[in-house]
Amino acid sequence: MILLGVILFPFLSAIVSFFLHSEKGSKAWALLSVFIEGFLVFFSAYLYSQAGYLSVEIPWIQTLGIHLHFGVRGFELWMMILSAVVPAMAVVSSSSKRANPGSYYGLLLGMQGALMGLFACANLFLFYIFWELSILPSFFLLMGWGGLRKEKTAVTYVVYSLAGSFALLAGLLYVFMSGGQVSVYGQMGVFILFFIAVAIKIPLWPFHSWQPDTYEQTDHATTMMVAGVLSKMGLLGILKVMLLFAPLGAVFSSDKVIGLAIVSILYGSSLALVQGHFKRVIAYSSLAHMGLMAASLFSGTSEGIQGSIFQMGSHALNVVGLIWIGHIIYERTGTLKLAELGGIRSRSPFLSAVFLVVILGSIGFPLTNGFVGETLMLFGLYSVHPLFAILAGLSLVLGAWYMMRLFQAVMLGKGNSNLPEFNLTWSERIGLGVIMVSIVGMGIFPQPFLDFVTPSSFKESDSSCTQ
Amino acid sequence: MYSIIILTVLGIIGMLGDMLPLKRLFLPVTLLGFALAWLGYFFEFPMHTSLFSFDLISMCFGGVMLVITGISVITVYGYGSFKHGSEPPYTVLALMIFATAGGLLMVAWSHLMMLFLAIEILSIPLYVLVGSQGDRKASQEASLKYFLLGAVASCIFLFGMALYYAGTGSFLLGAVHPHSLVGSAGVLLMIAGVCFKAGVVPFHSWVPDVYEGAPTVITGWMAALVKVAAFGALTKMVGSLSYSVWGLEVMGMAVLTMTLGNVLAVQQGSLKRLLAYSGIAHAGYMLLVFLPVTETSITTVFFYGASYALGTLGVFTVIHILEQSGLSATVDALRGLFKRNKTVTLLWCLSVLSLAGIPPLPGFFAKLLVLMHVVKAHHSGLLWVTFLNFLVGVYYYFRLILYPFTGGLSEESVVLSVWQKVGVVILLILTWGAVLFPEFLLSVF
Repeated sequence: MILLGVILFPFLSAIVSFFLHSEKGSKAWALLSVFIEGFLVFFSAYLYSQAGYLSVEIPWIQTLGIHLHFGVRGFELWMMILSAVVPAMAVVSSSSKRANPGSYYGLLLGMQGALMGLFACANLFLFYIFWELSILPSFFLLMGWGGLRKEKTAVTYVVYSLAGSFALLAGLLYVFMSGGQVSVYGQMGVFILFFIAVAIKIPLWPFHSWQPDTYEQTDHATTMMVAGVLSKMGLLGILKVMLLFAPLGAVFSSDKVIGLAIVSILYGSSLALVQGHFKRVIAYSSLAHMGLMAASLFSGTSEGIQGSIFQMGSHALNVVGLIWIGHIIYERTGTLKLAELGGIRSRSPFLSAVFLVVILGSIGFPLTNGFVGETLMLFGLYSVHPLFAILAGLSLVLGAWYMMRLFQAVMLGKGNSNLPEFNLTWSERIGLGVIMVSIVGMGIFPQPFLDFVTPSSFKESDSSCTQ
Repeated sequence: MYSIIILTVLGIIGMLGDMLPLKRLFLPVTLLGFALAWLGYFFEFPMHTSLFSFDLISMCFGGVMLVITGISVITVYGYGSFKHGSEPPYTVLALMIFATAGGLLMVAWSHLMMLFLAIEILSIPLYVLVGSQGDRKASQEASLKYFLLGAVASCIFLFGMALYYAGTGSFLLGAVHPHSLVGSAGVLLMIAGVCFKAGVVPFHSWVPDVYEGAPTVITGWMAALVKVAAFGALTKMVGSLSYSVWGLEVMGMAVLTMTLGNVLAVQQGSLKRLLAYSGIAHAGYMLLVFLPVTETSITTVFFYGASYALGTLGVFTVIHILEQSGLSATVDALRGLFKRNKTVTLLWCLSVLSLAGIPPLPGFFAKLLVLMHVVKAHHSGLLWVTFLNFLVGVYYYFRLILYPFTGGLSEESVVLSVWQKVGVVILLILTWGAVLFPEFLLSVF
């Protein structure tokens, strides 16, 4: 039953939030809500560690045989913890004045509920509903609080997302039509349809062109959600749906998918080198990181999958940290264009130190969270074909390059002489401190987290991938 | 019978509304009457005579029609009190009630003559209501057009009835199998007559003009009521006729209807015309349910009709509110709605998303049921055509979702009268109710 609470609570508090008007009141409500939700999620993690499996099933539409069926295994719980932590960071980091704060936080909480439902659901029907449901809040957040080019960006975003979910629906219908027993050729077709859906969501090259604009145009809290959790929906879709319903498709096409993912690694890393906007660098670096995670999921080895799941968490943490730092800079200086920034280290050594740690985590420096995941993933890819690992390993080199370039442009140099004071608030200090400590902590003691993401339940997708 | 008697009495009260004392009681009495009319079904259920049959179909479809008219009566009444000092338009309300009585009859006949009478009782008040904005030329034109084409459709229906009688010697459907060519032709002509009311291609040409010409409150009510009534009547008809007679023709009409409706809706700039074409497309989806008639067909068409009615009522209520604030019903008039009134924007978004079939709104379940029906019938070609049509539909509906959040033509906030607020809240509650408890509507058959 606690699972039902975890999923319904954000929706209920979102409804309350829509009726709040004051800036302070709505933020206080949102904070309370994300912390209660965090408590619920961690409590269910505790219950999970006692029982080994959590599930709840109640009838919803009996005429169609549709049940509200939720059940979580280790990696799904890992994603739920992620979608409890990232919205909390998003709410804590929001300090600037917004129009209609109540609706804003309401949509944010609604998105959290949709993600919780997606990660916890145990049947295809609910998977589709929550998949579609997660599109709406992000669309409204982009439309209502986005930047200057929000209209065009929102249309692109929605057209891509809906094309993806229609591909998903087509695949689900095909599975439904064949009564769960999909023929070999059918599995190829279903695999392609599902692949389109997840490749748009992750995103992978060549389905990525919605992503940089969306990152740039959204408000920072929305960017955190999109980059931190929404992108992981696609990877979860691979684990939860693709490998289960089209295992033969995965066997036949895993090389091609890994190839596409490696193209997005190289493409994203190269383009991140030449971007002139803070958030666009993050967008292209995410493209590269997500490509690596997708590639190693399709390696079909337990190291690759384990590393990929671990990396989903660390990537979320790192990217949230980067976006938060970007938001702090934007609030003080009013710009995120790299040409107009510089010399911030002299104003705020603390921010500079945190930025460096987050960057190290993001490029996979030893003793940070990125190192653990990336090493495991490259092991996995190496066992499929050494060439894959070599090409994917280039992402580490290029990553170090573009991240250091970012650090140099933002923090070092002379910069603007009339740079304002960088007085960080306490919530910013604590939040960034927590991110910094967890990046290092996960790098030094990865074992508890790795245990968490390799329960026995995981073997079914593992074996179906390599059979 | 009770329900129809009660509605007729209410209609007569409405006709005399301007003269009666205690005018404040009109709305409560009408709504109470609607509730009693629905309860009336339970007292005589099931009743089968040579002319009427009040069965589960008539009770459920009738209930939906009573809810549609009930909500519309509230908003029309609210519109009257919005224009300060003016009385609610009692005559309009009376005609709406009479048309509803016709709608109830359309799903409660067993003799073909009763079906014909029901269609006429539904249609004649509609012709008048469409032209009830006498000072607008478009309204008069739409009324005349609807009347002329509707009269031709009635003739076609009557002619079909005559041929059916010539072929089978009976006015009861299903009693005799229409083996003869004459009898089959009769069946097709009767289906054509009902399809005219439902706005199915190629009998759709009146729909955009009438939707645009009619006063907006009437358009929404009419779109919802007529579609539910016509599909209720079709459900009763096709179930007792052999599939080989009409199957191929209806399949062709369904494909044409949804494709043409969706394709033409994409380019419309006028909101009412866009919704008219999308309504045509919805009629196409609903026709798919009869290919062939199975035990899930009635559930599907009932749920689809109810969710379509809910979405349409919501959408047209918002358009009417927009017009009331001084804008014309174009797509551009939606711009800036979010800043002007949030509750109205919420109703708009939910209704449009429901019509587009986005989960978890009721329209999604309706479309899912249709898709599942097509899947079970093993029409894989039809499945993909339907699927592509859903895609086109989502495209133009999302344009409508986008506009309220962009910079607006007008900044002043939208003001509603008390009864309009009540109408909006009821629609919101019903929408959420259908999201949380779809089982309530799905399990009746």
